[in-house]
Amino acid sequence: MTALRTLMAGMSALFSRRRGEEGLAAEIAEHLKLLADEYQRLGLPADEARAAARKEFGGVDQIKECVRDQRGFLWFEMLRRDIRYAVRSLSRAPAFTLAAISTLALGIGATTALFSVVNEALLRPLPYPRSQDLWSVRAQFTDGRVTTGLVSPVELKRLKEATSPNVTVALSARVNLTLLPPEGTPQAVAASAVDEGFFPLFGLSPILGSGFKAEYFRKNGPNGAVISTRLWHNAFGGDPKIVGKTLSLATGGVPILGVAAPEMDVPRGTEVWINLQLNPQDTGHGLDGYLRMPPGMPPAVLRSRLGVVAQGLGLAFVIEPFVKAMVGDLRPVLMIVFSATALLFILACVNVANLLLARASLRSREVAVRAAAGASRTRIVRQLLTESAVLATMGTVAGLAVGYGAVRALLRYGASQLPRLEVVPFDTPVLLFAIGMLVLCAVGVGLAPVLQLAGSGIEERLRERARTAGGTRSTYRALRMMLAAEVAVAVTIVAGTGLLVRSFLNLQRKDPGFASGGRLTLTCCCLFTNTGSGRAAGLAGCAVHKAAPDPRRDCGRRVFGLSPAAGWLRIRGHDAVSIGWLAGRARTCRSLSARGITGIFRGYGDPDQARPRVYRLRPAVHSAGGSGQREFCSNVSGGPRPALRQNFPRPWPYGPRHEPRDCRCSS
Amino acid sequence: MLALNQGTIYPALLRLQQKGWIKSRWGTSENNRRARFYEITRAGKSQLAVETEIWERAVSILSRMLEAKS
Repeated sequence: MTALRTLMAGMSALFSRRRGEEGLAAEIAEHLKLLADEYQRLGLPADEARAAARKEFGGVDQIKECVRDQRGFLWFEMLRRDIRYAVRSLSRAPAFTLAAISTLALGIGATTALFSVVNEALLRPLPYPRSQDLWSVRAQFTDGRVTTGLVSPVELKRLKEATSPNVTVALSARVNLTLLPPEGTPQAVAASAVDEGFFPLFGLSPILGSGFKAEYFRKNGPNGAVISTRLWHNAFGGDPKIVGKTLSLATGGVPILGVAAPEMDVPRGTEVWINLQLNPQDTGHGLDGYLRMPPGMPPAVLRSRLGVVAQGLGLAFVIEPFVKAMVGDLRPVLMIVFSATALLFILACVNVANLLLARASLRSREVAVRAAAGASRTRIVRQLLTESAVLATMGTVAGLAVGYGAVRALLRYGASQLPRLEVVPFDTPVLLFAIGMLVLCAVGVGLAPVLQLAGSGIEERLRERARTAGGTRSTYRALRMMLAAEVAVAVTIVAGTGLLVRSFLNLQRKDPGFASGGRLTLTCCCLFTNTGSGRAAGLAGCAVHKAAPDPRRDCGRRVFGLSPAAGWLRIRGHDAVSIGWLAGRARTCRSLSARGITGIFRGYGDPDQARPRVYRLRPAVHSAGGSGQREFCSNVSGGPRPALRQNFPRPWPYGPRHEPRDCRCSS
Repeated sequence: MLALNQGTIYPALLRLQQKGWIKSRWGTSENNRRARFYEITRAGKSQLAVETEIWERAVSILSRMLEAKS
């Protein structure tokens, strides 16, 4: 209680300094007057009485100092004075201050930006209950055959038999659907067909509706869909009575059974989850597998159980933590870049320490004079450290601004497409990290000049100062050491960067097994609305890109049975099935062309859909190589309607009622 | 007799006040002068009792030691 009262009194004194000073002065004046009156009553003249009173009272300034020390927090007062002194001292050397702050801002900014990305992608736990128990499972053939890693229903059955009831298993398969909103443009939505265990495994209940019930997963059971919160808001305006309404898709309507929790994002980017009625005998590998282990179960136990199951199937099950599976190859990349940025931070610190050392050599006389005037070594050390802390704080504040800008720029230029990096917040962990950097930086940067200036005696310092023009012998030694450290770190960074660039170039030069020059991969989804009958025809298509075919390595022709003729791609009649498959799995389409863009489209709900058509899309500007991809996409996706229409052949294949409304590309 | 100057008394009073054991106010003295009055608080009284007890115990211990020596 007493401690609390003392704390409160100290705080109140901090915030009412002026009132306290006035009260103190008035009280001392009263006392002095009282004493002087006493002496006057005893017969002394007024002047002598006042002098005697002051003599008896003692040193007014000492008493005031004593009271001040007692009144507030002494350490706070001293810190305040040190900070004021440091700011004054730094403002006297603006060029040095600016150089130091900019260097630190770059180092801290880059490291904080990368940390915020690493924190978001690798450290932040997934938003699912007991997310550390979530694992992904992949199937791999043991005889060397190449596999996608996807799991088949047969394997799922065996997995469930071997691991239940402790471990829960679920599956999902990605599908592409075309959503036909009541009003507006049809849109392609990323959807996933999921099995019965999927939602219970992730443990997030829908925020609206009850989701899928068991009958939805039985053979010939009803169909339904659960939509994402994002789609619920964007396409349905957050309608609270959405459950039970029909979700209109190009392939038919399905009732909406619920709205998933906002955090639910498996597989990544899914907008609609539909029920998957599995045939347990199906051996097709097309499903992503997920596992939830019971709390405390070691992964080795699960691996051994899976090993037993896999033996009979001629394959191996590979499990890895779900977060790792989500992030994939991003983890090592991030760690490499983060390490490089940490080196950059060290380099910045060494640079600033060097600057401070150089400055310290000019300030040694000042320090010596202060020491001679009575400043203790602790006081000098504290003041020097405060100076470096002020520099580090300014650098950190500027660094946070740099980091924030850098993260926004990263997201703008494509990082938001990476897993778990849709949003990178500057939240508490990032700020704590920045504070940690600040402390590291303040100590790291400030220690060198502190050791330098406070280490030797005053006499020696003054003597050396008088003898040498620029600085003391020990200063030069320290400067040389710092310079060596700086060069070492810089060489490490440059060597590391060189190796990375070299590896990147080697990777680029690596033969992928087909002629990749001028090729691009592209997914194109064109959507049309039948405004006449209200029935829409969704078109999913794949644009292929080819003019100079390489007969030996024409993967598109080989895979899809396409044959080029006079710069066009034609499709043989019996390839309708291929084209249908291709249209449904547009992502697998490989581009082939170099000068023209040829689109292959298949219309859903079009009576003529059995007959494939070939259309030519000519981008306004196209250059071979990587840049052409963006130009094509921007041309198609951002192009106004007439421009898009112009690119299609005449007559318009779907009649006047089918107007192109939107065309989206992703690659 | 113990004589303390203002420089010693003043910080000590302030310390006591910060601990909440005394409180002060400005007022007018008997000879019609402006003066600062200090008075003990309830917390101060109980603290005084504690300190007195400690003091008496210390004194008695010292007395006993001195008696034993003589």
